Amino acid sequence: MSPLVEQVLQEGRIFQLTLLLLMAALTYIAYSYGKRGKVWEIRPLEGLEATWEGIGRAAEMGRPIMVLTGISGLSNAQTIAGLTVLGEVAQRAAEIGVATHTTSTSTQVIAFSEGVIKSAYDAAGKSELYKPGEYVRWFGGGQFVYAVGAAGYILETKPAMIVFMGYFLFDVIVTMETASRVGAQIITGTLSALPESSVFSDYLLIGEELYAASAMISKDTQVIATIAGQDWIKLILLIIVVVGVILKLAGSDAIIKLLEV
Amino acid sequence: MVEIPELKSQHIWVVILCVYIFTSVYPIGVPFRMSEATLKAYNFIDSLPPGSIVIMGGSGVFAFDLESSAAMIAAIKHMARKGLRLVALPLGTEAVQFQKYCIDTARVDEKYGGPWKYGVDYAVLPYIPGGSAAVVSFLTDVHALVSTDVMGNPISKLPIFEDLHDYRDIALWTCPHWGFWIVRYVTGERGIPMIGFAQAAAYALYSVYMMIYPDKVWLTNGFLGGAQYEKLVGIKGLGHAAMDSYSLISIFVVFFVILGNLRLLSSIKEEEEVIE
Amino acid sequence: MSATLTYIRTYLVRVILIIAALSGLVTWYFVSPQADAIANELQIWNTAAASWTLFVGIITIFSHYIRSVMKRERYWPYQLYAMILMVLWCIMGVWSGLYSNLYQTAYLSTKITLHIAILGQLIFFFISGVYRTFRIKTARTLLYAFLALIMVVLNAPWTQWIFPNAEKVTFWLLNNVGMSGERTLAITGGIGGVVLSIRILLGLEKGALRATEEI
Repeated sequence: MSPLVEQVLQEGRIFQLTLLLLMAALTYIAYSYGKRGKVWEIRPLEGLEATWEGIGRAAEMGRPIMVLTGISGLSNAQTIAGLTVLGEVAQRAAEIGVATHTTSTSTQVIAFSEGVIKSAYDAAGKSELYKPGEYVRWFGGGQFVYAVGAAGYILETKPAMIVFMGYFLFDVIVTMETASRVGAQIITGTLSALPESSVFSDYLLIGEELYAASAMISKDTQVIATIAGQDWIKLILLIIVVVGVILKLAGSDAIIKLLEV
Repeated sequence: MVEIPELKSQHIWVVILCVYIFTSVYPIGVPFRMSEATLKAYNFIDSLPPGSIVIMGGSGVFAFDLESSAAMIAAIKHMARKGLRLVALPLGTEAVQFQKYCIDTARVDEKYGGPWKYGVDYAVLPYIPGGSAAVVSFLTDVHALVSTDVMGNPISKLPIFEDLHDYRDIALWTCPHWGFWIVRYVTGERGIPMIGFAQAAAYALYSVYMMIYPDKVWLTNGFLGGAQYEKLVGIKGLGHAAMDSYSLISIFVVFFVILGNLRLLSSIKEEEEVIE
Repeated sequence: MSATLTYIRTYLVRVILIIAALSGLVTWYFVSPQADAIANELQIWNTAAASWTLFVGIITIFSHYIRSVMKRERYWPYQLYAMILMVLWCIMGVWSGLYSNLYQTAYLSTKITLHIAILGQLIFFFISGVYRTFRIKTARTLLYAFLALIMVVLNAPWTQWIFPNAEKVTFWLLNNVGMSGERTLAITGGIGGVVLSIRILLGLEKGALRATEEI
């Protein structure tokens, strides 16, 4: 490596930077295509489809629904994705008169969720149905306090469907089992508590499907286009992994050296 | 075929509660085997020269870390016997209380008749927020990061800190939690050996670190690892106490899964008979 | 909402995000003492802002609870109790110090005891969940139930006592099958997170920052 490059770039992070720039570029290219009207065919997510059906089911049963964004703050990407889902689901629910409840451990998320639900009612044209302080409850103090708090909230409101979208830990064991007991349909999207969630959920969005869901739920072609960009990046990484394995089997460390550049 | 009734959650909970009560009242003393990883961790601590500085870094959720405490307490006892020194670095809001609990329960302080004197053989720092940034800063310059211990005493007045300035002075890092991002900075970047007294759930996720850093990283496996370490040190603590229920519950998990499938099978047969 | 406020909510947030993201990225990838200094300064601001939001959070909770207690709304006794406890804990922490035996005893016999009780519930809830879920209806559920059960059994002390090689099988499963899956989730989750960040910077993540809809 030339001394000039060494003076400018941190050692061992050139490949990382290249990959990051490539990711940004591919996402932007996909977004630009979307902006120009290209519609990408995206595999439907069963969990999302079930969410829309769940809202209808809740209306028929006369019960509310619940969207839980987890036990992390606004600095967590999973929480942000969860809040997007909360907004869209709350809007659809408000349109047909179904109340959406939510809880969190983070006071920031609580304040944000209140705003999101209010906006959802406004966007649905049902501002008069919005009751401040009715739909959002705070159970601070960590995962265990949250677990019993949210479980109590579930027992009290008896939602027809609970959408878990965000960052969770072992709290899901308590909340999801309680959800099963009240007969709520459970739809989950998370990266952090997958083994536990898989035991209780009716529908499970695995890993990054959570982020895809937050894009797809908007039904906006430009937003959905970014998922295509995401898939291109995955394809590139897949190629690197396969080539790396083949080269390693052939006795070459070329890919490892490339990653370490 | 007779249809097996569907069990309610409450029925299952009663059975599990009975198992816990039974094992508490009548300890069976279920035998357990020593694992290679626990033995290696023990041997590494045993091989450290007296006076070596060990860090107890990490810990986050007290109730959850209680599973790690069995091995951590046994290891603290082991360190005290070997004449090692310990600096507790709380990186979570509940870590101060957890680390105090471990040190107090190990009864290594001279006030309990143990060999350690506060400030000379061990010290506890205040909670340091920042996660990975705090770990990196600690490894780079201890005295620049923190100026007092948890009780407000200047660390410049505590003899143990005369020998602890940066990562080069640390012989071993122990972590009684599953914050294994610490491994990247401690072992990956600075080459310090690490023992993680992991919960069983964390062990399932992070045991691969032993493969990534052979002979540098060791993990103990929840209460089982705790019981193993206690056995090596010659004490009976929380690890031993948990072994009976641990073993019996694993049998009941299998039992209930089989029962659930029999229930499924019987309901299918019943439906077929109705159709015929 | 006024247009100015909407504009501020939409674009100011994005500008702050871009500055914060750039400062982090520049110091990670480039050798620049100036960028390091800016990032350090922003880090201090970040810590101060986080502490401030924590304080604001407590104020919000108190104002909400006080209003609720005054109006005798549902659960007001619990809210009153929570406020009294918060104040008492603060006084005790400041007066006795975090490392005192008094604080430790109080902490262990209240919060930690309750936490452990909740943690203890997990196994009850988990087993009743497992009873309902691990029903073998398809080849997929068979594989799922088999792999889950084999981990439970192989990890149990009595199995490891009877079958000395049980731990080796557990290790193999965790380090090869389990870890491959974990890494896949980590890599794809990382990509998803980066793309989500780009969507936020482009103002496309409307659900979380819904103000963008109103322009």
